[in-house]
Amino acid sequence: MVREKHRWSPYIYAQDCTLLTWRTDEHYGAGWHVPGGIVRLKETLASRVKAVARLELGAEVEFNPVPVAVNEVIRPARKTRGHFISFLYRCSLTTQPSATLRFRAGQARPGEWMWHAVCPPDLLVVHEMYRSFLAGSYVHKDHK
Amino acid sequence: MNSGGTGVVKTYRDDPLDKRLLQALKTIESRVKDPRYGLPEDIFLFVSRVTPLVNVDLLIKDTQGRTLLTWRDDFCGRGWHIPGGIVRVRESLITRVKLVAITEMGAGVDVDPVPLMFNEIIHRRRVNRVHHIAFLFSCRLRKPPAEPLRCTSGKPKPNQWKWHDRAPRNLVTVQRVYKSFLNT
Repeated sequence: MVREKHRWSPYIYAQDCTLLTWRTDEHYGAGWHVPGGIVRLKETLASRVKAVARLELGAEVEFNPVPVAVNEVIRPARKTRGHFISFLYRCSLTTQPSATLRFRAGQARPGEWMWHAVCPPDLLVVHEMYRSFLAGSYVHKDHK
Repeated sequence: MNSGGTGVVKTYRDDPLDKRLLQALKTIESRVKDPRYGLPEDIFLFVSRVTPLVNVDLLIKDTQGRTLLTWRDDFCGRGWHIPGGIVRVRESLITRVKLVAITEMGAGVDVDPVPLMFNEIIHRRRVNRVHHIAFLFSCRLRKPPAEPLRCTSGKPKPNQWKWHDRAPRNLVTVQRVYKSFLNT
């Protein structure tokens, strides 16, 4: 028996835009992605949602406790990080994200955030599963 | 991304203590033949002390609306419980559901792929197996469960099964969250 990693992704949605952050690393390559984090031992999913918003965006969030998606992400060829269960939560920011981490122009740097009105072409490959949720291609049932 | 996201605390390959740590991890890994088929118990318990585990639970109903429960008497307590199991690495939830049915009831199942619910179960005072994320799936047996494991007396033994028309008083504590599914 072996552990799995439980990854949550706060899908932060406001004014028909989705907040994405830039990521560049050895594991997943480079691209915009839905911010997220690994759930620690004895920590609830809700706690991690709030902690990542604080740590990565410097902001507070409120969110619907029922995830909008649960995905099993299994990559047989990977030796490490080969299996995640990802919970996607719809969040709204209740404070502004860090101005110093705001993407302004040029090449985005790791950790920088930006509101996206449509799904960007350079979405991180592992987050293609979220494309339908991102602004411009998804209408939440509450908005129909 | 910082450690808020990844859960990683950085180690340093030139630090003697971290070198020993890496060597220890290699030793542990060498004892794991294929994690898809489980871990040696001590390694599993170590893992259960440091990270959440994912498990599936099988809500199996018969045509009369009764629920199949099995008896357990172990770290989890003593009582009737909904059968379930820990998901192995690179194994889908549905695969584990089907394997639990075969290994515990000796029968295949049809599974509704959308879980009925999931629960976060955190045991603050336990040392091992302290944190589970449990997915409950609705299942139908394709054939009756193994007859030799049927509970026919008032004194059930571990792994014996029995159909229940409502939640028994001695449902294991950790599964009381499922009571409403047993009483409908």
